Amino acid sequence: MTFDDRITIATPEGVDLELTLAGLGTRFIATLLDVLIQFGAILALSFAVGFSSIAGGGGGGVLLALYYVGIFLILFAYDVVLETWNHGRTIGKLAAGLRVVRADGRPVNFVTSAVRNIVRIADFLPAFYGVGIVTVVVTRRSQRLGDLAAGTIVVRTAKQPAAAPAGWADPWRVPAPAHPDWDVSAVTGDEVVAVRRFLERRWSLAPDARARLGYELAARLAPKVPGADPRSVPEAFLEGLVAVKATRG
Amino acid sequence: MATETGPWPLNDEPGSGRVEIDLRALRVIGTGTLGMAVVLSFLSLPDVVLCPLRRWTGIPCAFCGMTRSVVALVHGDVGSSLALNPGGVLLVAAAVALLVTWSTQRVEVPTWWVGAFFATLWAYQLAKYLEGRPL
Repeated sequence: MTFDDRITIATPEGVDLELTLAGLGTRFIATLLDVLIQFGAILALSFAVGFSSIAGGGGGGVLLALYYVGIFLILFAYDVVLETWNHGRTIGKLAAGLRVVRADGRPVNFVTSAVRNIVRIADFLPAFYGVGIVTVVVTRRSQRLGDLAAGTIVVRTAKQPAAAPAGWADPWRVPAPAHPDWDVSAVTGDEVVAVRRFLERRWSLAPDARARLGYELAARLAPKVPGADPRSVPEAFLEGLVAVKATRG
Repeated sequence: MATETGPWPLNDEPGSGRVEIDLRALRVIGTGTLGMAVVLSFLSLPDVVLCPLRRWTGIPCAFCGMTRSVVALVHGDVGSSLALNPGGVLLVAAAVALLVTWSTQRVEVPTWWVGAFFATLWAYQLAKYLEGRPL
């Protein structure tokens, strides 16, 4: 039970991404918060349905059907919707500083989130997340059954997004135009492939990972490109590099 | 710090890959379970269903009868133990095996093995339920 809580994922760009796995305690806090929110929502729904049935009189069957749909949405869709559209974070995870990501560090999508939350039923068994707790404790990457099925891990979010190194511009600025004065002859084909792959998939990366990969690739390649401003916007530099390399080889 | 050296991009298919299991943690859990079973075997178990699934729906989960299965095995009643939940026998066997293989710290298995293990146990319990056999 003394597994290191950090894992390093090797990316194709040759930059290692280090992630810190969430522990049982923080996961418990996140789950507790989520359960309390869900319980509150179900309670509110129950009061609303009860009030409507007393006030409205008819349509009891429809109301009951809507009530069950509402409960299903609160119990299941809550996790899936928030994880998918809030960068792997439910409200509980956000408060506990956790995030669900895929095993390769990319954000979860609808399918992976749905799978990990459907299997939550098995994790809960025989009671109070018995199976989930055991599997989190005994697996190297602290995965419950749902995580194993979906290929996801729960990691701690960085306290602050990757900060720009001194002198570097913000990574999200509008890309600069191509630079005819750059000498890109020292940049190898493999390096261009790595840059191209990063640029292609940058929108699927978590913001921290994207910023860090961009900085590291730009910092590694900028010295090889005489004429390039080493303090330029990283992704603009990388885009310019690929464009210039494509025209000149 | 361990380095994940899987292919990139990793296979996206749910359930793919392998999982590394910490046998030291499993050993502690297994030994604790065995110890608890020995203590329980000297007590008279109250007839209480703790599993929420079975309590609320009547449908057994994969672990129904597990405690009673382990206790039966501690008493030497292998037949009852198997009938109650074969997982109990596997649990005791695994706990003993983990104690014997003390020096082994980690093992890596295909992820689907874990899913198959739970699915098989659950299928057995559901078959008993559908056939009307005692759970």
